[in-house]
Amino acid sequence: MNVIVICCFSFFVLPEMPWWFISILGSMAGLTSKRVHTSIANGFLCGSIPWVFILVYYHYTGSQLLIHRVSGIIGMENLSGALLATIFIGGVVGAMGALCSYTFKNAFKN
Amino acid sequence: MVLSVTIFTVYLLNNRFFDLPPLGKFFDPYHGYLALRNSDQLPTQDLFFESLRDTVNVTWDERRVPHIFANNEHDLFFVQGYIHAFDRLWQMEFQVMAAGGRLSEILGDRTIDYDRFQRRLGMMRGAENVLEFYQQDPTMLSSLQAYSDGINAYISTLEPDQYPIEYKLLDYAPENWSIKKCGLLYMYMAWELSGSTNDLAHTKFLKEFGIDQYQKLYGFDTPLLSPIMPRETEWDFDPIEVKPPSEIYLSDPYGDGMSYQPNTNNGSNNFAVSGKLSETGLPILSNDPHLNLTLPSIWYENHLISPGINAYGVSLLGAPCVVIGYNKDIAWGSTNGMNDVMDFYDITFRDESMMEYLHDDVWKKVILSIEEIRVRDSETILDTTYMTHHGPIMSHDIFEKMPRFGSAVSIGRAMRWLASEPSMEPKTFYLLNKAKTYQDYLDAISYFNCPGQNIIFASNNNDIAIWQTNKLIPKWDLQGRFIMDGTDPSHDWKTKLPIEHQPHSLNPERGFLSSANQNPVDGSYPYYVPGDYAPPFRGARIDELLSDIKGVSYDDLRKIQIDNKSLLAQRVVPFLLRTLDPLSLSSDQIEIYNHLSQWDYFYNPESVMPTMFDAWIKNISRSTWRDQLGDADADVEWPNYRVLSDLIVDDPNSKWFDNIITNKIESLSDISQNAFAIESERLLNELGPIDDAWQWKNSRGTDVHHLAKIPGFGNLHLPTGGDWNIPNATAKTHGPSWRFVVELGERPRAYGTYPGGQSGFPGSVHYDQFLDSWVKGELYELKFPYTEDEIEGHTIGFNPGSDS
Repeated sequence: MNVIVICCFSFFVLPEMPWWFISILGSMAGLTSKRVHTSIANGFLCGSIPWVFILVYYHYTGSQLLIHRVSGIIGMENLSGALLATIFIGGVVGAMGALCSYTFKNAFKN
Repeated sequence: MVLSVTIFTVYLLNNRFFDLPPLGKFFDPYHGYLALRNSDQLPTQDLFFESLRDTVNVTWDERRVPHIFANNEHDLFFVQGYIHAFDRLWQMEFQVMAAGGRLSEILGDRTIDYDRFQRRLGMMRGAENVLEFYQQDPTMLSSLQAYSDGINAYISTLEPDQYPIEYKLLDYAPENWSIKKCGLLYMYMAWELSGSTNDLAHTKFLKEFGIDQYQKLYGFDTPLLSPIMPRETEWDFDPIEVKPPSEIYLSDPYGDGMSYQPNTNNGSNNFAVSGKLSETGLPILSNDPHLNLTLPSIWYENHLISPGINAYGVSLLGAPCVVIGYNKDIAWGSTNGMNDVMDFYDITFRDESMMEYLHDDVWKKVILSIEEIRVRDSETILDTTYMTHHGPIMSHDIFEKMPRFGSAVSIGRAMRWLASEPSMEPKTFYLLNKAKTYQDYLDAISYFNCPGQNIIFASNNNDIAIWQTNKLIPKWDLQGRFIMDGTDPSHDWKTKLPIEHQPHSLNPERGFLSSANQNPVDGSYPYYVPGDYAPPFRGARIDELLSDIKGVSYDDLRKIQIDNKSLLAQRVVPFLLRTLDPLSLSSDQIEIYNHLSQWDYFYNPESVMPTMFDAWIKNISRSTWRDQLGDADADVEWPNYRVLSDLIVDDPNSKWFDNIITNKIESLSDISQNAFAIESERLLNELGPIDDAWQWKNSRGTDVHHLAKIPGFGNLHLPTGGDWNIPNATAKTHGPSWRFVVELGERPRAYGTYPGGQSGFPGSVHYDQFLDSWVKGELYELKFPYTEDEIEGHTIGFNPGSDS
């Protein structure tokens, strides 16, 4: 549920914020997670889903040529390369943000 | 700890490391590459600029070619600059940054040596000299300034999110354009087309084999030659006498050495037929300049209309006007002259300080040129070039080998290069855009200095002409073919020849003119014109075709552009087949033998025998030269295929066919059989029995890479035919960069295409839109409206007013 709310929130703020704001979104997920691996998973999703959603939306609304060319940079075809890179970068940064906030939260708790 | 790792990760992904772009910024779908998704869309509303004096209307036709209608030249070139930048900003800036030796500002310390090399060549000095030169010509100065202002007007509209994708990948920002960069663009073209030398290789050959063998293997004249200026041309002037030195100077060619060897396998063609041969009764002109093929393409197609100008054709990105094209009255085109305009001199320094050198028995002072090279994420460095009156000392410290995209130049010696002398090539194009008559054409080309070009011309007055346009230095026989003595004034370059002494031809009796990078003249021309000319096969084939046709239409000339017949193969294959004994061949080899026997010598995309012949002749060439000359490398140049074909046809027992490593004395027969056995076996193993995989389009094909070789941004494995030495001289990564044909007339009709598209944005359908037509050898009919009412398309007004 938190992930859905954060993702919805992201669509309003990300267009105006620098790319690394996804780590803040991830940290929001970390704050609301109860276990470390849940925080990492939620952070990963909160970092990657907003990016992937936009990527896929653009892919099917006229930008497939560009996306395929970018996939080609990493030696892959069609959507796959851009999709993998987007999931990975968004997810990792989101997950690290979540891990940070989860660690802080627990530090203050203890 | 976790926070530190997170911050560090964000830092890594926010910056460029090694070859990786700033991945976080780049893949951010809001601000990264996807922010560019509609960046190729043309403006939808009128634009306003304070610099404009009047309204300019631009209509883009269905191929995205802009037709720019202006009321004055200032506005015309301003809008041309704006539109060039709109479609190709990164390309135009990157080209001049590379040419000027400023890549370290973008790529960091790994390109410092490259930048030093460019600086020592004198690219930046040359551009600065040109700038000074232009101060004397207010018309050209204002045209270049208007063009630069147009580029800067576009740059000023860009937010960082809108920077072209290559800026995002390399993580830098565009800077303002200047007239100096226009000068650098021409230095870049001069380097591409004339920045080459084989002086070191030739000196080494001379030392080992002597002058007679040199003349035989590297001489220019041959009965096979169909020179650019027809053999019957009469030279109506008194030649200036050039006194040679008493003996040939022999430099020590060993030790550290580099040579940037010219690519004699160039492929540019142009030809024109006069009205007496054409269907329309007026001349038809064709041109296909061959260059390295890249995306974005080196050319941009545009149509410029203002009072006094109505010119259509292709422009270089970074300079105003049309470079190759036509107007209402004339058409013109260009091929590389292949002239040797770069010479090297041994320098005798007084002492190790290298501050004085000997010339004409006098110790002369070396001038130091110190340049600043800024380096990304590092300290700025200073680089010193030692200048003599001959030119710069290319290397006194750093270079062992400095490949320039696979090539390099001789080191430790002074370099004299024609392109480093200030000249006004852009003025040639400016005047050609406005020219109406042969005399206007002559005025225009008188400004062209370097690189040497064969500029062909045709007009509505029924004139056809061709001039080789580099400023010709009168040289004694073989001057500049070897490293020269820098102390002896007889080795210095002399005053350039008067323009009327340059090779040219006007309205020849035969009714056509052509050039294909070959030797421009035969032995009747009174001057020695050294060059690294293409073997004569391509030019001879074009002339053979032109001699055979009457009632010529544009389509006849288009077909010549894509003609795939190899006169080299036609000349040597029958002789090579005779060296084989079919009884000693395997069944698969006999099939190849039979195919070769029946081959029509065409390199069509579906032909299978070019694959075998190409491998076979390369192997024979290697077996002929390598044992005695060494590997074709920095300081060794193997003789070209014309020379090899002479040996195959006329001298099968030549000493060059003997492999000196073995005790046996080999002949052509031995190395031909051996080469056939090796290459047929290899191809059968790699490609299987003769089938689709053997087709030339599959075994060779053409790759058009991105200008910066970014993977995924090129188009590879294009199913092309043709090869070096064939009119359609399409090769693996090199080929016709613009094909066009113009039928002159009351209203000229022209056709053209190039291997790319108008947009430089890889996400645009206009990025590689013309590639299909180019591969097929088809040409688009070019729209040539005289007024705005005559063209349909997407129209936008560029208006005077506060900048939009």
